[in-house]
Amino acid sequence: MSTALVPDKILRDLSKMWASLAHSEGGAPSGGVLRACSLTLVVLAAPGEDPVALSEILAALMPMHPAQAIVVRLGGSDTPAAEVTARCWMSFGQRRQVCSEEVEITAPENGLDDVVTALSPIVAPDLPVILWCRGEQAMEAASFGRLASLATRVVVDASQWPDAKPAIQRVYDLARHAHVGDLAWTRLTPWREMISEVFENTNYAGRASEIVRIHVVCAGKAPVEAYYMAAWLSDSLTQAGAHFELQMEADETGGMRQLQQVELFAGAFTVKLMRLRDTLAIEMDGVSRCINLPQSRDDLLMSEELDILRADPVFERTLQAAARLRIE
Amino acid sequence: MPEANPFADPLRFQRRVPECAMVIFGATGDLNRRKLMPALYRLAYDRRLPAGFSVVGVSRSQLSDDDFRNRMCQAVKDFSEDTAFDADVWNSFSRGLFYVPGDVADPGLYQRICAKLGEIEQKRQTGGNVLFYLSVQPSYYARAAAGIGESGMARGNGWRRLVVEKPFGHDLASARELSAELHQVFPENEIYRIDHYLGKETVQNILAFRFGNGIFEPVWNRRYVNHVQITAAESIGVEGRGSYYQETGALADMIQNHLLQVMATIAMEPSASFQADSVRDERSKLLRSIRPMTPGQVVENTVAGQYGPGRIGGKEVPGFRQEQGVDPRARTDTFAAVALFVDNWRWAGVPFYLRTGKRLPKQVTEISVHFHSPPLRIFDGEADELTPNLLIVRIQPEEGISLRFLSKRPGRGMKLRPVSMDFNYGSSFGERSPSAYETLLLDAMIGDATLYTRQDMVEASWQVVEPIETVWRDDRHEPAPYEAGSWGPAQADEMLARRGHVWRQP
Repeated sequence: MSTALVPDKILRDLSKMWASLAHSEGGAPSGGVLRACSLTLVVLAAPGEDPVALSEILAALMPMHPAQAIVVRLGGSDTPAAEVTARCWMSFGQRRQVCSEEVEITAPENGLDDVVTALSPIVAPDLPVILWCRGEQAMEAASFGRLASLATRVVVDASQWPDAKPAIQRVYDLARHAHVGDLAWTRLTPWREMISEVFENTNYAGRASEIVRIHVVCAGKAPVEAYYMAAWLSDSLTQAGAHFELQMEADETGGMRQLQQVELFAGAFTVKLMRLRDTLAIEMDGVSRCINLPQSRDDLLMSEELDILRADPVFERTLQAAARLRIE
Repeated sequence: MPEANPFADPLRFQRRVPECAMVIFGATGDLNRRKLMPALYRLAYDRRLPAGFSVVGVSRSQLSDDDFRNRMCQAVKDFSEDTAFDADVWNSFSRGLFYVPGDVADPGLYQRICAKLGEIEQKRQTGGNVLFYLSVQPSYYARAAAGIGESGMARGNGWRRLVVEKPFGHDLASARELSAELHQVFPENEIYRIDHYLGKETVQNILAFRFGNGIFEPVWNRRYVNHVQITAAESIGVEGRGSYYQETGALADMIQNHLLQVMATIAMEPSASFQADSVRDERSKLLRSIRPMTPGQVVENTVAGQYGPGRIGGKEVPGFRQEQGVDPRARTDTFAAVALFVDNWRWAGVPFYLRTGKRLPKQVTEISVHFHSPPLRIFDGEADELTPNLLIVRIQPEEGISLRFLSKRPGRGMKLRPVSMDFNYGSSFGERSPSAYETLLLDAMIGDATLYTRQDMVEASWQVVEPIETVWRDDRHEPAPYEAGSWGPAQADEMLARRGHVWRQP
């Protein structure tokens, strides 16, 4: 049911919805559903974004992080309106449905100000608020700063923006006012974890300072991920006291824009990571290992980000290094 | 002190496992095929294992490395319940699987294992760290440990640890004897006695619930708690393990280890830190505070039962004495219920009722903490409607915590109704929970013994159980019969009724 963008009305509709979910079709009280909410997730949809695709992402995300979801679509209507629904699922082997509430707000393209005013009273009290910004246009609106200030953390995906360097600069600017996450950084977790693991091994612990060359290879025009990887490696090695040369190689004829390979060269050893279809292989002094590379799906990436409800110091340091990075 | 890893990111990366090799004795056995190998594969799948991680399987069967890899591949396919089989991950993982055939009693076996470990340490950079896992019959534990010691494998370039499965002895004396034999080779801090119950997420969550929150501790004592019930019910029978089970029984198989550990976790004092020994000290203190029973108290406070034939799910099922491999005159307890008391200030006078059994109506493990009724009843209502508050910790199958309290029914008048506030693990944290073996294997590799049982805890548990067993083994004692598919013998209900309590039906 669609309603005007009036917080009291939205809250009443939500109450009614929960009361109706507690009753079976015949009107008698049923066993009810389990109402689940661990945070508020405000999703600022990209202009023209397919509602069905976004709904599927949220459907996959909610069982991992049950949340009050507030989806904001700008440009979707002439007057601001809201609609409340429940998103329910049955966990495997369990007897009761688990439900979380969803509010979909549509507003004119220039209506973000009204949306921000309405959001404050309806977000779930005492719980973190995560703002997921799926397009860059809304970030240019004057009231975006107000929206970001409601959030415990703002998550973007800079890899969706056309040029890597300006995208990184924009994330860096945003991070000066809010705790920020970037799905482009999240995609690197398995790569980074494997590199880190090498230097946990007693044979290599303390030897990061011996690295003299970093080689980052990507397919297509260098994506934000490649810059983040280069910046993270550079920053970490600088801290370890290494003196190294950084090379980034972009195979612009090479298919999908993504990170392909990372090599760390030291005098006495080499570490090489390669993407092989949906796996990630590592080679190091004759020992190789292959791991399953998690799919780069928005729900999985976002799930990792929703585990972090505060500052992310390693990313913040990397972001600073990436903004400073000069690679031709 | 190793230098800090400049690439570490503790906010996002999982706890790192140091490079190591694992030697599994009894590698072709059921435990390895059903539990250990699927758990190790899942850890590899989740990129939790270090690059050079290796397994040396040891068993009597004459197999090559490739034969062993093929068997383990099949085991992973057959027994990984919620993990997709990924050929690339398997190929990478299986390159670290090796096999050494031989008999645990043959000293030459240990020399061959030692040579294999040396080779692996060189080729796969395992840093000399070795985890020995005894997945063999308990009667071989001491021999295997001695073989490891005699061959010099108990010491090396890195750490050496020994994991043993229950039972840790069959009474106090044999538990001490086993411990003394293991200690000739491994010091206590290198022995990891596995109790898979402690690896379950909800059991660990008890610690988080009690000591991570400020609101429960003030009511966690005799002033507010009336009694506690711990139930571990199985719907299955002995499932082909009749000959083993008739020598053990429910009391020794479940209560001596799993349920007493769960009880210790629910009742222990807060530990000063989350360091392994700090937590284990408190568990141990609690176990030592359980009042041992006199023979008269055993009669009063325990019930042994044995299932007879019955119907479950529309099918006839045999009684215990009709099960394959079971002596038709066996007096084994397939059901055990005990009322225990803890002699400390916190719990004095509060009964802890523990029950476990086979062929009960369903498989369920839960703890229920029953609080006192309000001192004055100011509302009208049927007695059974005005039930006291109840906190339920569900361990399996649906992990979670529920708090039951009274609420006013909508409408005129003041009619109360019990309602439940539920926390459901699966719905609040949709991610998959690791299996108990994944958690425990990882902990052993990392060197975190928090969830493992220490020798003093084993001895304290036997001190509780042994007086009961002594009475139950007496020729004059006969377990009370109960129908398969029921909640146990009527005597178990009577035991609670004597104190005005009833078993909660899970």
